[in-house]
Amino acid sequence: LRWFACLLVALVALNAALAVRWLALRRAAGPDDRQRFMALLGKVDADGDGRLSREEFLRTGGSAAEFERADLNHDHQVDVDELRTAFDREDPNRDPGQARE
Amino acid sequence: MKAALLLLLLVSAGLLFRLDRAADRTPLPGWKPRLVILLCVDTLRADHLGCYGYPRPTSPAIDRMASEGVLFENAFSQGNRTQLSFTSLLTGTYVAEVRADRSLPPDRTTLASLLASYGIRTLASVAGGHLNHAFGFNRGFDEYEDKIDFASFHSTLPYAIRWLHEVARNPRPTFVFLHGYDVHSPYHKPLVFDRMYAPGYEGPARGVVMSGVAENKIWDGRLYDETDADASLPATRRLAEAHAASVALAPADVDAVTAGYDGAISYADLYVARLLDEVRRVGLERDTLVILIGDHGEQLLEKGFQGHGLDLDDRELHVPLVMWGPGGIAGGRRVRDVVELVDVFPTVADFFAIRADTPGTSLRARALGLPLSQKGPGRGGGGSALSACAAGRALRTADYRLVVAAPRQATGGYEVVDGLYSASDPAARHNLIGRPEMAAVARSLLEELETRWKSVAQ
Repeated sequence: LRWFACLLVALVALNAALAVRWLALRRAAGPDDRQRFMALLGKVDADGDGRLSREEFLRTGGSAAEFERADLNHDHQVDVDELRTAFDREDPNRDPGQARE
Repeated sequence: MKAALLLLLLVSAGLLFRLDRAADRTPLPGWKPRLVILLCVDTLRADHLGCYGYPRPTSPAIDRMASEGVLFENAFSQGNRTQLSFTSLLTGTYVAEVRADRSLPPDRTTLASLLASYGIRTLASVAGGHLNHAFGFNRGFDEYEDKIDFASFHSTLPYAIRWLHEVARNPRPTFVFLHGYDVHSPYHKPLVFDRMYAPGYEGPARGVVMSGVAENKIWDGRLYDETDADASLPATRRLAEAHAASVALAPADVDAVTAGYDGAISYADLYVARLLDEVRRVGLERDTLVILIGDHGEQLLEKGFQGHGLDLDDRELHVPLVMWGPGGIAGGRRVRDVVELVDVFPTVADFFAIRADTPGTSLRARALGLPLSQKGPGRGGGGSALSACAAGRALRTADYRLVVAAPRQATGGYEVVDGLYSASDPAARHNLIGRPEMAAVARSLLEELETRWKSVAQ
C-alpha cells in the first residue's frame, strides 16, 4: 500500500510540473484575442479604469452611434468584451470610389 | 484507488502529448509547406511597424510574426501604386506602366497560372478596387473573391479562414492570396482607431484627411478644399483663389494625419493576428508559410504632400517583407540585403519546389538560413532594387537611391531629373547630385540602372 501511495504522489507531482510547463509554453505562444483587445483598450483608456466612457470613446475617434451600438448592456461604458464584439460587428468597408491609387 | 491511478496516468499522457505538440518548434531542414499565404496590407510602409523600429506600438501581431519568422529589412516595391506593383509582383517581371485599360498583360505567365499548372490549388480573397478581376488579376486562380471594392480584411479574411479549414482536411498544396485596403486612405476606421494616437484632435486634418477623400489635396504643407471656382476665370486666377482658400497645416495637423495612418495599421494588425490564430487553431502551423508584404508605401507630409503614386522615394517604395513558417523558419532572423517584391514570385514557386523563369531571386534560402543557391538574372551584383512609374525610374542600393526620368524616346537615354539620395535620407530631402565628390557614385549607379533595366524591363 505504501508503494502504491508513493506512486500516486509521484504522479500528482509529475502532473503538476507538466501543467506548469504547458501553461508556460501557452503564454510563450502569445496573447489570445481577448488579451489583444485588453491591450487596445489600455491604449485609449485615459483614466485607466478598464472601460471606455462615452467621452473617452469619442475623443479617440469613435462616433456617438458606434458607442450606442457597442454599449450592449447600456451601462454607458464599453468594456473589453463589448469592444471586441463591436470590432466584429462594425463594417469598415467604405464607399467604393473613395479610395484611390 | 486503482481508478485514481488510472485517471492520473491518463492525465499525464494527455499533458505529455500537449506539451510535446506545444514544444515542437524545431524548424525542419528542407521544409516544404503545404500552404503558402501571400498576405498584403495595401499601402503599408515598413518604417511604421514596430519590428522595423517605429516607436509607436502600431503592430504587435506583425512584430510577433517577425520575431517568430524572418524579416527582410530592405525590401522595395517595383511600383508606387497598387496596379503597377501587383502587375510586377504577380507576373514576376519589371513593369514601368500599366496599360490604359489597366489590364494585366495577357502574354505574361502569372504566379497563380504557374502554380496551377503544377496542380496547386490557387485561391484569392482580395479587396477589389485596383485588383478587381476585370483587370485580369484573377488569371490562374481557381477562386478569386473580390466582391467589395476597396474592402477591409473584415470582408476578405473570412474567405481565407474558410479555406484554411478546407486545407486542414485536404492534403493538396494550396496558395492563398489575401489582401485588404485597411491602411489605404481615407484612414477612417470604426471605433477608436481614427484618433487612438491623437486623442482629442479637432483640427483641419480631422474631417478631410482622416474621414474623407483628401488624397492629393495636400500640397506643399497646405490643405486645399473643393472649390466652386468660376470656370470662366483665367486658370491663374482660379489657382490664386484656391491658394487663398487653402489652410496651412500646423505640426499638430501633420501629426494627426500620421496618427490616423498609424491607427489604420493597428486596425489591420488585429486581422493579421486572427489569421495566424486560425492557422494554429486548425493545426496547420507547421505546414504553412505566411509572406506578409505591403504593395507600396505612403507619403505622410514629410515633403508637404500625402498619398502615393507621387514620388519614387523610400516613403513610397520601402515595404515590409516578413515570412512566418514555424515548420521551417527559425525565428528572429533579420536579412539586411536589398530585396524586391519581384522576388516574391520565384520565392513562392521555390517553396513549392517549382523553378520560376523570372528575373527575380528566390528568397527561400535566405528565409531558411541556407547558403544562397539561386540568383536571378536580373539582380545586380551588389543587390539593388529597381522601381518605376510612368514618369521615372529609380535604383535603390544599400547606400543610395538614384531617381531618373523615363528614357527619352528619341535616344533611349536616361536623364537624372530628381536626384541622388543617401539611404539614410528616406524622404529624399537632400539631393547629393550636384556634389563633385558624388559624381563617380552617380555615374556608376546610372550605369547599373541602365544595364539592369535594359536586361529585365518588358
